[in-house]
Amino acid sequence: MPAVLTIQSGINKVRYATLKGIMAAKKKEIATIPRESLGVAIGPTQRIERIYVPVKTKKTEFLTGTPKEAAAKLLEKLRHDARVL
Amino acid sequence: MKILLITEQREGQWNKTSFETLAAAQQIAAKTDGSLAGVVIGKGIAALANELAATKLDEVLLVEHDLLSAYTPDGFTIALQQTIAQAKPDLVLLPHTYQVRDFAPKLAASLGKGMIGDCIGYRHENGKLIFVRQMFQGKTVADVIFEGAAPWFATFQAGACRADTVIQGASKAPITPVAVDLKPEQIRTKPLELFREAKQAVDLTQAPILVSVGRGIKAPENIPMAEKLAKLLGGEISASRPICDEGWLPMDRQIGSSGQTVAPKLYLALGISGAIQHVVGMKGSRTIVAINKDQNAPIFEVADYGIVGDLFEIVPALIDELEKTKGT
Repeated sequence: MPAVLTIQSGINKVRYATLKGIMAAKKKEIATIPRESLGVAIGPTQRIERIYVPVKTKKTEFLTGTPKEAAAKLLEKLRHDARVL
Repeated sequence: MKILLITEQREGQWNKTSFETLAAAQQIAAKTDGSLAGVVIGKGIAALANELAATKLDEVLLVEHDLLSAYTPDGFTIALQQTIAQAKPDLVLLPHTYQVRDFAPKLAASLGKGMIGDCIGYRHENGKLIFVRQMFQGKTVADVIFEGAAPWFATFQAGACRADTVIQGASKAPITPVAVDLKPEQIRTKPLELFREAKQAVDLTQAPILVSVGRGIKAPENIPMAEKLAKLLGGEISASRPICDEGWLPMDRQIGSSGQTVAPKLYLALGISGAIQHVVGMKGSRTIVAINKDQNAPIFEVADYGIVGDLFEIVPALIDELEKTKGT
């Protein structure tokens, strides 16, 4: 010890804060640990050059008709155009 | 640029994402006029090293040790630290698997280096290597570059590169065994037996075809219909978060930011609206089909083929058609 455990989402139901807990939180002390006190020298190892909204590259082909026709068209496309079946 | 690719295997079986990352590593090596060495790590993996040596790379490093037969973060980190010290790469590339997520940050940090994780691509511009990764659940993308001295560490998301673009070598690459110094007391965790949570559980990232259900499936009684379709297509069933939260399908079938990231050749989304948290987990799929009654559903933004309609009419029609062609 000590050991570090990380937990995945879904392991438990989220427990929401109660009103009493929210009120009590206001009085709790928040400890601040300055980086210098840790005795580690950290320089940046990477830099973000640009942040942007992803460009949509796909064009959706809509298949129409009765359910039977649409289903047949889809299988045709998957077999011969996309060739994934 | 001197590149080191670290592959992943378990009990002699490749994790296929290794070859996607190999494809990227080959391309980066070619673009930077560099060299590429591939690492196979574990125990009893000579056959895999041979297989890897057939692809286009300069060298295969065989990292074998009794203490590496089962994965432990300590064992793998120490062995790879020593491998990196000997190979002296500029860039270390890994597939972004569960296992890599577990040890790669530790490996990079132990050398005082940074890691750009879960990249969806890269660009080589004006002699600069730029890695592209998603931020804010995929709502934005960022270009990231390394600063400071090499080695640099980067991992590629499943589906970021295409394994079928891996180039085979003109001749077999030499296989060099790497001697690692590893002692039992250095390994602080002990893996117990591997188990699958559910009897039929599969690794969805390895499934070529996925039929995925969302809220539109309405009731657990309707899931067998989707399962039937998945079976006829030779695929697996998966789901969006609400379905797993309801317990209609087990948690390990969940696709998305709190589930798995997949990139099958065919992804069929049934009654999935396409919330961003779901889309980040499947948009790397080669072909995406969406069936949804709402024509404005965001899932159509990423779909190659869309059918606007009632899945309870279309899925049975698909099943009919497939059974018909199977019968003939």
